[in-house]
Amino acid sequence: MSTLHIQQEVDTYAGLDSWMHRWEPRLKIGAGLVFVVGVVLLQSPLLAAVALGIAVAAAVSSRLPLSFLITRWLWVLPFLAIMALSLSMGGGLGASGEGLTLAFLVSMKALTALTIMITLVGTQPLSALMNAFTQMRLPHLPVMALLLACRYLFCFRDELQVRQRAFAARAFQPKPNRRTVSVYGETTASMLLGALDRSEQVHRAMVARGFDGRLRTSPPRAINYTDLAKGVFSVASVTLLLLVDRGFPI
Amino acid sequence: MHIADGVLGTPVVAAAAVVAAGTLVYAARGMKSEDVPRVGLLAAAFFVSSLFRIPMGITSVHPVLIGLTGVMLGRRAPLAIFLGLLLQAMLFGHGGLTTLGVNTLIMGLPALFAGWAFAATRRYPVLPRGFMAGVVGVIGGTLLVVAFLSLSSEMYSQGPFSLINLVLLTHLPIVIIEGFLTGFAARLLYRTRPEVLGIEEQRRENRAE
Repeated sequence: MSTLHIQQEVDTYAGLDSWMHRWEPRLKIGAGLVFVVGVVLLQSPLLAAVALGIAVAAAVSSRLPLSFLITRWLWVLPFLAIMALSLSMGGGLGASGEGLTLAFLVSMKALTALTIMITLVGTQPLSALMNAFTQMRLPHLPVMALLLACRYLFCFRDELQVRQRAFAARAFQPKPNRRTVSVYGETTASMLLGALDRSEQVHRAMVARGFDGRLRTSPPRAINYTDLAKGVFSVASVTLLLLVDRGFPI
Repeated sequence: MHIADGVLGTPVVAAAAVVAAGTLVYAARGMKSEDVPRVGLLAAAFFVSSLFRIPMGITSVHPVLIGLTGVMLGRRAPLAIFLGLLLQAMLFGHGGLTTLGVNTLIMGLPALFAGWAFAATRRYPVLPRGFMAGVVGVIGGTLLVVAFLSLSSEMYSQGPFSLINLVLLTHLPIVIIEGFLTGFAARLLYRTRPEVLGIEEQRRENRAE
């Protein structure tokens, strides 16, 4: 699988058209973050479930397929299931009601945050998201390192897949023994060395072309009233949930 | 070793975010543009390390590379770990958004300590030093996970099958695997390119020359 193919996999639904796709990325990141923080503050399991419903509705109305969401959920569901089992039956046989309630609350919050994150990342190309970070007046060197990391991880994944094919061709079977750990340790080191050499060459080439440590990107898209309205709606919905959660009469 | 959104109490998350911000300021202070490629590279390696699967009974474990990140980056390690965690949260949904600070501390502080320990023991052979850095990274991270869970809710520590006991049990094999993997990786790096083992170590040596 090539680097381009993996990047396309991340950007599968980035080219669609929906209210979320049209939302200005910086505002979308900010509103998403506020929503997640608000959900984490909820104490009622029922309201946390409502928040998950809102997050799923946002994702589906952004034309992200439900199957895509569920596939991503499957990555965290085993951990949540273990946690639920441990909380409800940690003291031995017989489920504890308090433990089950806590497990449900935590699961709802975790799935809501995950759904929001999937929607934020999946509704524009990864490159547009990275550009948004550069346009948010964050310290430029860490942002630059993030952009490079994003690029390297696809290269690493490609190279790792090539090496895993090479291991398989030599009938290498990973086992919990010294040889496997030695092979993986030296493979990690050699991949790092190769990538380090490449990154230093790229850095020298960038410096030779006048790079001064600052990324120049195209100016950000202007934030319009529709973008602001989406942000206000998002923040208002989580604020409403918090007010109900705290027993504020509405 | 990642803690998801909603697992910890708000005061713990807020306090950890403040401490993590301070740690990141320390890690980024004095950073030069030539440090950027290595920080980005280790952030990506930290992300991809989870793809190495070692079968263990009915399940499998993967290295975390906390120690190796500390050994190679020194004080910049928490920054690389933060960026790796941010990418993991964005692309895989591992960890969380509000727990980014917590997770940065869980892996970044042991990485710092592992890097210092590796540099402080330079009189000894590199394989045991690397092993020690790997072990220190995972044990430190596991203890911090336990500490954050304990501070958040008593329910996480109740009973023989409590979440904290499960965390301790599942990380036992990773301690050994990470120790050997970091040791072998550090040994190969030392034999081929010793200068990559720690920015600080390299700078001190350059100044001494």
